[in-house]
Amino acid sequence: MNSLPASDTKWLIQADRIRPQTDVQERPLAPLSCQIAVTGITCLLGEQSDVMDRYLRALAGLLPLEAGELQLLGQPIGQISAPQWPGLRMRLGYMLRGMPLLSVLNGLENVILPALYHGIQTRQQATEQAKKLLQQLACDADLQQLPAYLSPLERCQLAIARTVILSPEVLLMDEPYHSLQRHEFTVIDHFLAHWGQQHALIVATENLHFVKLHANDILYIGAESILCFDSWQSLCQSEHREVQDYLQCYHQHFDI
Amino acid sequence: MEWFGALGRQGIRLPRYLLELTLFIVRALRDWRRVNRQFNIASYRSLVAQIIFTGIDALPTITLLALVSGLAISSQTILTIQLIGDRADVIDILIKLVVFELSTLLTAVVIIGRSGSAIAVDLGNMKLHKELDGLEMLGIHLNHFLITPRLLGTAISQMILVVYFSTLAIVSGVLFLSLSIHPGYLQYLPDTAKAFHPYDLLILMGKNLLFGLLIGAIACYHALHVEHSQTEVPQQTQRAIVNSLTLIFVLNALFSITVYR
Repeated sequence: MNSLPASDTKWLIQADRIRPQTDVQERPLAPLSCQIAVTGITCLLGEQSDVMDRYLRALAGLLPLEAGELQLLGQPIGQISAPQWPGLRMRLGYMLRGMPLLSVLNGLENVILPALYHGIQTRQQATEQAKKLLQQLACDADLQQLPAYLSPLERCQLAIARTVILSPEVLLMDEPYHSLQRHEFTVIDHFLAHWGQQHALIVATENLHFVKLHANDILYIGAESILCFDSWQSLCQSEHREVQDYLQCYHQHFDI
Repeated sequence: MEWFGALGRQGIRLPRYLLELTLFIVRALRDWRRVNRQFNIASYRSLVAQIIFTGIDALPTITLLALVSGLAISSQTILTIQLIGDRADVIDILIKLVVFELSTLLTAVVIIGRSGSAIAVDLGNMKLHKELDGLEMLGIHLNHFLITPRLLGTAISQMILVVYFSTLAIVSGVLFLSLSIHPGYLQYLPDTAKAFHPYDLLILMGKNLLFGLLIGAIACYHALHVEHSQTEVPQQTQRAIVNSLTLIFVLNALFSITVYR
């Protein structure tokens, strides 16, 4: 497999006025500029989850761009060849909303699958690594069960372990709390906060508790523009009408 | 003009389907060739699982079908043809009818019913629930991990099951006659083995390798056409089954006309 050179840049993702592609009849999206450092948590907030998903996919190189320049792991996206993409996917993890696991494999097989497929670990090493990760995720699921027999929280924990087992440098997550109950959020929060201290984490979420406590950067995806904030306090102090409405709306549902 | 358009679309539907199916198989095998015809451990396990499901798990059904076909068809063929021809004619017809036609078609029908439908439902549901997208996000090549092992698994299974079916069908028919009518019928076994040329075996295995590949490919092809709705899974599954049966029967007839003349 062809691979990208190890990134010696301090920015893992550099986006310069990128605009994800839209359908012909849709309104063009606002341009996004951001730089993702080797560690830290960046959160995407906004009213429209499908629009946030587009920006997240664009940052992961999964969606064609209408405009702007994007560098992934120090390389312009246009210069990344087709055989390099599988290697890049290992270093740049992306987790879909709902976090689908492979239904025909049991929990443990799901987690170790990427490591075995890419040949980075033996079965025994991958199993040990998986169990260690699941311990960090506070997961006590029966690993011999198929995903259908596990709870949404257990499936979410397994899906995170499956992505993290490849030791990606950046992890992009589209609403990891999508299928979870409110009381289950903290289990995932704890792991992500810890992981984000050593790696780069980009999360599109509506869980403002997590954003408030752990976000290093916040990108507010508005209808007309994208606003960048370097802390929860600066987001709260924003005089932008859309941001105020957003916070007002969620203030009623979250204890923030 | 609309009538002409509809006629034209119907006219190109079959050639287009066959072309897309061929390209689908070529792509799946090309991706496998790119990695030096090797599988990594995960894809290899996928291949072994497919062979176990399609080949080994189908053994009871294939055994039963071969035994009853042997009793009904092999024995009746011997009894009927020996009235109008000599022993060489009987053996010739036995090989053509039981080995080349009956075993191929019955095995294919079983594999289409068991494995073709299972692959279509399985992959279709994976596509529907975005499990395949999840794999691609992990840098896992779908052809390499899911499609090619299924194609090769069904091809290898069909090839081996046909040899097993043919042997059992002839042996059971001859044994039945030797036990029920005269022990001399046992002589048909070595005579049939001698009359079966290695070239015939190669043709038989090549044909069934192709048929197995097609069964797997058609199932995968239709499964990957599932898009958004749960109702598309049974629709694509029935298309996979009907198209597989049609294609296998047509190709088998073409083989009979061209190769075994």
